[in-house]
Amino acid sequence: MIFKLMKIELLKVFRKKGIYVIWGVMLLFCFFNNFLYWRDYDKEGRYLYGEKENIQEEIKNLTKEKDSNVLGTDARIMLETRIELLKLKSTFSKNSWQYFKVNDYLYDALYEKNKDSTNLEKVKYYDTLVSKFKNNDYSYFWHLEKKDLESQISFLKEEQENGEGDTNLQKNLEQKEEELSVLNYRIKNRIVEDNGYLNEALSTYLSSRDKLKELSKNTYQEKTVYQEVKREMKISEVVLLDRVNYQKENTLNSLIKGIMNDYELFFVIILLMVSASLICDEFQKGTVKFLLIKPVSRFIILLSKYFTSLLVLLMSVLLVFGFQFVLGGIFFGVDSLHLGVIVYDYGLDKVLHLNVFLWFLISLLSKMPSMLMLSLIAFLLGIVTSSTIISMIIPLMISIFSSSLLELAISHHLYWMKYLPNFTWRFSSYLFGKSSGLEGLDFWFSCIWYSLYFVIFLLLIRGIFKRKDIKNV
Amino acid sequence: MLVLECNKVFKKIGHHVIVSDLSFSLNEGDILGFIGPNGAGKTTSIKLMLGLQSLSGGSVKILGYDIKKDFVKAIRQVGAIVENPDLYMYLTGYENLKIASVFYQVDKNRIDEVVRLVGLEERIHDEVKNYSLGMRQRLGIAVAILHRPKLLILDEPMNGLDPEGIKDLKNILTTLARDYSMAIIISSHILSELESFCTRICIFSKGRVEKDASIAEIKRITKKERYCLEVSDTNLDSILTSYRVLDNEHIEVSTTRENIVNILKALLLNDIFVYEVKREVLSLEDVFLKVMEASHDI
Repeated sequence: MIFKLMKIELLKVFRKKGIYVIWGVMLLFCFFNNFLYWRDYDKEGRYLYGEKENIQEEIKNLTKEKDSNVLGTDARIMLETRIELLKLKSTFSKNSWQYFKVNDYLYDALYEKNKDSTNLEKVKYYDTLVSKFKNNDYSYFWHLEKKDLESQISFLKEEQENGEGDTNLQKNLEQKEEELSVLNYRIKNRIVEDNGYLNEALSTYLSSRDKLKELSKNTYQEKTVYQEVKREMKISEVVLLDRVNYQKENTLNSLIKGIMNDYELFFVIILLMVSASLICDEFQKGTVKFLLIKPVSRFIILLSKYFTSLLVLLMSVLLVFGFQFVLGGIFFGVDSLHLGVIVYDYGLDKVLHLNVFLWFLISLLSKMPSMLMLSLIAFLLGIVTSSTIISMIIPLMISIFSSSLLELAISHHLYWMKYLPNFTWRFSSYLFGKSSGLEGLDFWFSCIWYSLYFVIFLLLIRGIFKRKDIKNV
Repeated sequence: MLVLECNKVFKKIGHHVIVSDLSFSLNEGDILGFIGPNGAGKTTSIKLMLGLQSLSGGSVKILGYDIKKDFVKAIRQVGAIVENPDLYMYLTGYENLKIASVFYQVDKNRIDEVVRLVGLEERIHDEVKNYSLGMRQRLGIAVAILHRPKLLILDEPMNGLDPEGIKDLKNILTTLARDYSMAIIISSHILSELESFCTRICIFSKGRVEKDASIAEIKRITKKERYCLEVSDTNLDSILTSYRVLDNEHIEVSTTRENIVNILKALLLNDIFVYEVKREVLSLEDVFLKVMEASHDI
């Protein structure tokens, strides 16, 4: 009987315009999302239109400063050098290694040339550097850099052997050796210092590794921070080893992976809209009497509406999934699907590779507890107030502000807040052993309290609806 | 066969008593009219019988099943319209019937049959929001009788119907009671709507049934009517035993339709000129008062 009733409820939902309007907006959002990723990102997944450094403005200011008569020779030469390098920089893409390394590789040589422009050797040297620079010969500069570092290390070691130098000598030596090690890694793996994913992964790996050395794990908060830094390090490590840009956003793989997060608000709105209207419209329009004088218990009628709202939610998820798949395939192709998703397992302390469809299913299932509860709250409010607005708005606000509330609880150590129902349904935060951030709020705590709240709400709804007198119109 | 039994049904909200001591029974083929002014408790009583409101006391049994303890079995044999025909306005008439059919495992042939019965063949596939009030009433009745219930409860079903529609409805109800042995409860605040085809009347007032009587008895009590006469002289003590002076030119007499002729003859024979005779339709309050007077006399 419940399936027959669900069929009736589905008929009611799909005979109204509301569901089509929200689906239309959702799919339009999907289209624009895909379109903008296709238009605004390059092949490497880098954003093309980021905030541009205002190089021309800087050149203008420096030129003005240089032309003022208050500077000495050295200062003026310095400014000339900077201006010239800025002009050179502006000729390169902001994603290129040249854009980032122009000062590091060319400043000294250009400064020397500007200081003594009659010195042909210096001029030739600079011209050679610029030529290599413009020809994308990063190996040349790595070679120079390596020579320089080796020479510095050699010098420091000599000083150490001779007993010269201060207490920082060992520290400096270690730092230089570390720099050389990183440089050798770059040379071996051909990782230039550009805006690409490999350089980003390497930088993240190095900074995370350094941070981990300094972090302690005494308190719960410190452990949480330590966990996150370690996660960053491990993920970066895998990116470097696999030489795969798992984080690239303008791919079908990434867009499918992000469906449950990117469209979560739409899904919540659809769920609440359907839940609220399935119950409140009946009371407002009087058709609740049509149902309640039929030979079916009130609870079965209620359950059929509840399951229908969840079914419409799943239909919406599948609709977005299907649309995204087709659209993403058209814009980006399907090749990226084999990449899958990398996930750090906090418990196992290792990075897992998952199929993107499996990831999608996991993220869908992890969001379901919150959806189940939100719908229940909407039903409860609908039965008590018969107001569609209240039944929609209150759970929507709870959903939207839940994350902010959690941050507030964490920052102000409000541990009692872990008992709030909206904290107990955040099962997606526990995926792969992650901690919630609030001490005491873990997976098993959430399981117990969520189940308790679910049963309480269900019994409340059943009890109130069973006893509710249908008032005279 | 006993279809409905209400025994000391009582409904209270806070300190306010909405319905008290509602007791009556209904057999197959009975057509019971609920009559009373707005707020008398007719609709609430109907809702209590259907389980739409909870009983504060008493019991309601439909075909032997208690509405509280065996709701599903009790309500299975009931069709009803409560307050208004509750229909999904954005669906078609046919879709509304299809929805109702799901609950009773009724097939398409039966749906077509009730559509023909209420005369909605041409508009049944239109959305209900485009129906007139009368058409919605007819569709509501179609939904109510779809599953051939043993008990049919209609709350003011004549609202919005034109005289022809009222006549059609009366014919349908009479047929259902006679040919299908359906027990019917029909409520109204207009006696004349009910008196031509109900077998019994319950008169409601302030949440109580003041009188539960057959139509014949009600007609007997309310037989006397009021007449307003415009006369040449209002001093008629020597001619009439009972009359009321309204003003210098008008008097009022309460008598039967048969006796007014005799009164007019008597006046004329005594040289009293009668310029106008107006018969006043009894208001519900008048019916109620007359019924109460008759009850107290007994």
